[in-house]
Amino acid sequence: MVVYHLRGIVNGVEIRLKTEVSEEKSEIPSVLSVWRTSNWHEREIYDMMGIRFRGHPDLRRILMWEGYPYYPLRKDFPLAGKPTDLPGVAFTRVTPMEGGPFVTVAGGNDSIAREPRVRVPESDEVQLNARVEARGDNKEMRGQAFGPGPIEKK
Amino acid sequence: MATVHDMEVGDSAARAAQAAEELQDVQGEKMVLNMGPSHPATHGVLRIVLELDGELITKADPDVGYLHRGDEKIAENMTYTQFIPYTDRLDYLAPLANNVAYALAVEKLLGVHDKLPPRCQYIRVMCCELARISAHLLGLGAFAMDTGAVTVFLLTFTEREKIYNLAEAASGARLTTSYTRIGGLMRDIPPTWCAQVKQFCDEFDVALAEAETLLTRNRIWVDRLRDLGVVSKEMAIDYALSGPNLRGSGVNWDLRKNQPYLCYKDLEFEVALGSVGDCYDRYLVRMEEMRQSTRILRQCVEKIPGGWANDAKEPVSIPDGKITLPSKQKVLSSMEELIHQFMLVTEGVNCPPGEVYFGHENPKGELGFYINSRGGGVPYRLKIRAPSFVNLSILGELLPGAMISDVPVILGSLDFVMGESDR
Repeated sequence: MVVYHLRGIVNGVEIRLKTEVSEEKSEIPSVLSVWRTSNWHEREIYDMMGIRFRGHPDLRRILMWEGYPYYPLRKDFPLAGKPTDLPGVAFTRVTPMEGGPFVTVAGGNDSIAREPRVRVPESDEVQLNARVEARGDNKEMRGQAFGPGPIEKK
Repeated sequence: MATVHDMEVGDSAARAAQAAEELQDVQGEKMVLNMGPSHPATHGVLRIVLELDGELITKADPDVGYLHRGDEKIAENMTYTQFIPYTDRLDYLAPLANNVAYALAVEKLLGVHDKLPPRCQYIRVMCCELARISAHLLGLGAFAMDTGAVTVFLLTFTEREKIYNLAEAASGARLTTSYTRIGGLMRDIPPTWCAQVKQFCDEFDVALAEAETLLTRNRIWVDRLRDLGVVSKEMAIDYALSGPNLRGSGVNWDLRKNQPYLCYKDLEFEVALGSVGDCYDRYLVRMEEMRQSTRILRQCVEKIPGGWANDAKEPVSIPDGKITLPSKQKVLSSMEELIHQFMLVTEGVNCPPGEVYFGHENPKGELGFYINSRGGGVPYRLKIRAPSFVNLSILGELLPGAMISDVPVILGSLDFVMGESDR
């Protein structure tokens, strides 16, 4: 669903417009010809959510870099991020706080199970590896296991 | 081992003639210049790809996102209260104002934004206005320095230091203040704070007047700013500019006046407006806004409910255990308060399902939070309408036609923060 929040400066009226967008199609017409400010907003929605705007003359990524393969604000994108082939420190390892929400949910893990500090560092590393390798989507994309690699026995 | 190379130096006149012949095709060809992301005049990590014809800009493509941290994604994974420190880092020149804007948005979702205790409202307004002065001072100092007037920067930073001291006295932190809580404030201001604010206002008026004598009638300053980067009324509205950039174009729109929140309707202040919409107008509007801010501050100091020391123990948070934390004394002695505290800390403030948008007049413009809640303590979607992001989108139209030496001036007059633009 795309939500437009409009405001009239002369009369101070606020309008909230909502349009349904199906996930399969992920495309709606652009409103750039009506409001020029929607240019960057539509680019941002495309960048973050993957919704394309028909008729937008310059629909490029805006916050993420050109060629980034995911849409990070979609709900199926994990908070810890996903690895990409691009070099850099970002996303090469799972962040220590991976697995939000950082809120107690009834029936979920208790705080000891979630708290990274109480874990033994070494088994923690192995656990992280296992968790990264267990992710199906990563394997599908890269065709191989990846991650920091197993820890060598001393 | 040094090696020796033989080099043949031909007749330079002949080579120049040959080069001119070869370069004939290059005449009139455009050059692409990459400005930023690490450039002192881009105030952060803005990158602009400029297409130049000689010194004239024919096309400009701003590239943002170098400071993208995924704040909106992070917000979906924590409670409303846990997100407050992230708002410090949006517009990091005015963290106090961001805290207030965010708290008000969540309070609007809870339906309590107009039921805040009066003392809380006054302190929040003072925080916002101090933040406005602080942000405008940095914008002004950097703007003047980019244009070649270095002294102003020293003046404005002396004053900003005092605002940091005030923020520290109130919240305990100079930059990452996180002063508000959902439903109130972290704590009351110290008893001497209002006196310090009053003293600051007196000193600041002198400093601002001094900065003004250095700039407002300065021939170089005026010549560089006037009739440059003109944004017409229609264009400003079409691009949804906000804050001083919108008012610099003469559009009378200030959320503090048009959609009053907190106690702004009880306070007297004028909205500064420009007439032409050029860089000079935007500069003048910011100067006047700072003066109006001290005016608001002085009124708040006089009218603050409970007085300076708050002997009457006026509350600064909504006394509702389901929204704000109860006092520690009560938590340790009463079962109900203990349960409230436990629930608030572990699961967050229980918000009703629904959607809400709240726009706040931040120093840079309208900072809006759109919250889509499905109930519970965590937002389903939190969208930040960052004024800098929207204000920057006009660059692609504003820069072409200007000279390359005008770019720092136009950027300085738009006064943006990349931490907010990229989120």
